[in-house]
Amino acid sequence: MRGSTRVFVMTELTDALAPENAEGGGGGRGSSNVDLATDDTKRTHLRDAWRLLRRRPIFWVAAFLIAVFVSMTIVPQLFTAIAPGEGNPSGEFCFLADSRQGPSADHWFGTDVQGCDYYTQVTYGARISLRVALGATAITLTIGILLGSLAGYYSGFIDTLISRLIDGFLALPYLVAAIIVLSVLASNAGRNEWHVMAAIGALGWPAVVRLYRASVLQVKSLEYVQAAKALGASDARILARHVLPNALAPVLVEATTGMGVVISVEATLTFFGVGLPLDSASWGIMIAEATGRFENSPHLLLFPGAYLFFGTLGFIIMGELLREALDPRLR
Amino acid sequence: MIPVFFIATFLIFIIIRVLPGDPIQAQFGERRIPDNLREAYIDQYNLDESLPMQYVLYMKDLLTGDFGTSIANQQSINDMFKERLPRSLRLASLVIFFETIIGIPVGVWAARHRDSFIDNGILVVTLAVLAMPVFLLAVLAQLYFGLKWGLFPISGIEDGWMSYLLPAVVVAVSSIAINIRVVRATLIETFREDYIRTARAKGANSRRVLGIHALRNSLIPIVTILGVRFGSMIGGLLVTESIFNIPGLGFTIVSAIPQRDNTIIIGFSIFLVMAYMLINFLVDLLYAWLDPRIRYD
Repeated sequence: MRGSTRVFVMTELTDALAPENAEGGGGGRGSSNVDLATDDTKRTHLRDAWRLLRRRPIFWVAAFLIAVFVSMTIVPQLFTAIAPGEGNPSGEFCFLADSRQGPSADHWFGTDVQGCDYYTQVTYGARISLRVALGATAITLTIGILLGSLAGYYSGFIDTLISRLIDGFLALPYLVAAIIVLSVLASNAGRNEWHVMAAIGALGWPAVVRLYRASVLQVKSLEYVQAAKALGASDARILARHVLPNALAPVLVEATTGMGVVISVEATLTFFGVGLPLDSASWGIMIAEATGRFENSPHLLLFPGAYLFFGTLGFIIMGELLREALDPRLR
Repeated sequence: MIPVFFIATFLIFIIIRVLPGDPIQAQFGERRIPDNLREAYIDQYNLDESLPMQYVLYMKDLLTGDFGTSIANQQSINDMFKERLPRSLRLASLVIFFETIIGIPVGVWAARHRDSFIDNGILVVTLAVLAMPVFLLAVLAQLYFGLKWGLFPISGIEDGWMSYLLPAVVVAVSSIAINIRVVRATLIETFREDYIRTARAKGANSRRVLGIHALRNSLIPIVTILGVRFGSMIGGLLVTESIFNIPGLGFTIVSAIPQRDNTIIIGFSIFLVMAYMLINFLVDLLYAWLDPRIRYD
């Protein structure tokens, strides 16, 4: 009896003294010690992260949200039998007489000003949001990784130049700059989703460069990079084949959160009339048009608002959890 | 710091310069501008010079403290600052106030109950408000609290402090998540330090460990975040300012863009950059004061 208490106290103490061995997930302390003992050889950084993640319910919530919005983007037909701009599944026109009806069994989210099924409109809104988010994130990552490689790999003048440029960009007020850039890129009539992608992407890269530069600095001094260099590999090859795969993780985690942020920023810009064109099925436009009709038809505001919120939420939760799982200091 | 200032201001200059449309014509609508008037404008704003030269001339005026005059109504930008900066500052300081009095205790609470049900709950709530676009929150608050329930003024600044209350809460709610996360993460890291274990081993109670040992040493990242956020917020308030019709700095820039009032856009944007950099500089100084290990020699 006495002996077992003592053992218990001992493990408590070692846990307290070496907190970096204790895993983060709730209640997993005992089992993780067993894991350590049994399959020590199989443990890798990614496997650790995965083990940590799959125990957390909110990880699955985020994964579900992302899966739903991605499938809404690729196959919206799965979610609604009605095509956008039509009144019902048999493909008839929308009736103006049905304008702005509240939610019902026929029209789950009610109808819009034109009398069209609002659930369909809102569902198809995922498409343009996610497309812009993906495009803008791709632009951000490309510029970020290119400049980050240059700054991290060749220190000295190039590094100083790029770092000062980043500081300059970060000092600009983001939304002000985005609104101005979008006014520059095209007039209201000629603006399309490519302009929005380009503007958001062109302003988002400084944070990525900072992060990627730090990863490159860490990786480039590792022995296998020195080995590749000694074997005569070109700088481009070293950066692409050896540095990139090992420096990518933090940037990709940021990009996950970034997807959520871009969805939100795009809706904000569109709401202010400098984002997507008025005729696009976009949540920002639906919300902007609904504010004036709020007293009579709040559903016009609340449903696209909810979609916008949950679409953003999935990516932000996922990014945050990935960051936590991959950061050894937070374990 | 100084090169960064020149890079940022030059970026602003380039971006504004490529804005489509003729800023002079924009002031006259469809009417024809008399030639002598157009020449007076060109002369006043040095529009016949090359872009780098315009920048140099503008900077020369700026260094004497002169931000120029508005194209639209010939009002001095400096006078506009005097009128509009206090409104943005009032809003921003209310936001920081709400963020601090709620963010720090909640962050401490989450850190002390790490990985518990409470902590996970706080995590979900903070991520949820982070995912809520500010404009959506602002519109909802305006429509529900203002229009439907009539609890707050919904637009303008006629009602004194009351006018700023709702917009400030909106901004604070949507950005408080960052504060809570930083406080939590920093405290968790601090709790692992040797001196915390020493304090606990000496028998100090948890309140003393937290207040005297942990919190004070965690202040640096918290102050940094608060400071940097204050600097970037003054510009970021433009969404809330526009929706609640508060004529502060961000509002002024946004409404000057369709008018092509380039001097307002440039002057106010540069002012925001200066504010951002000045606050970052002050935060650096605070660093040294909070952490005696850091010295700027």
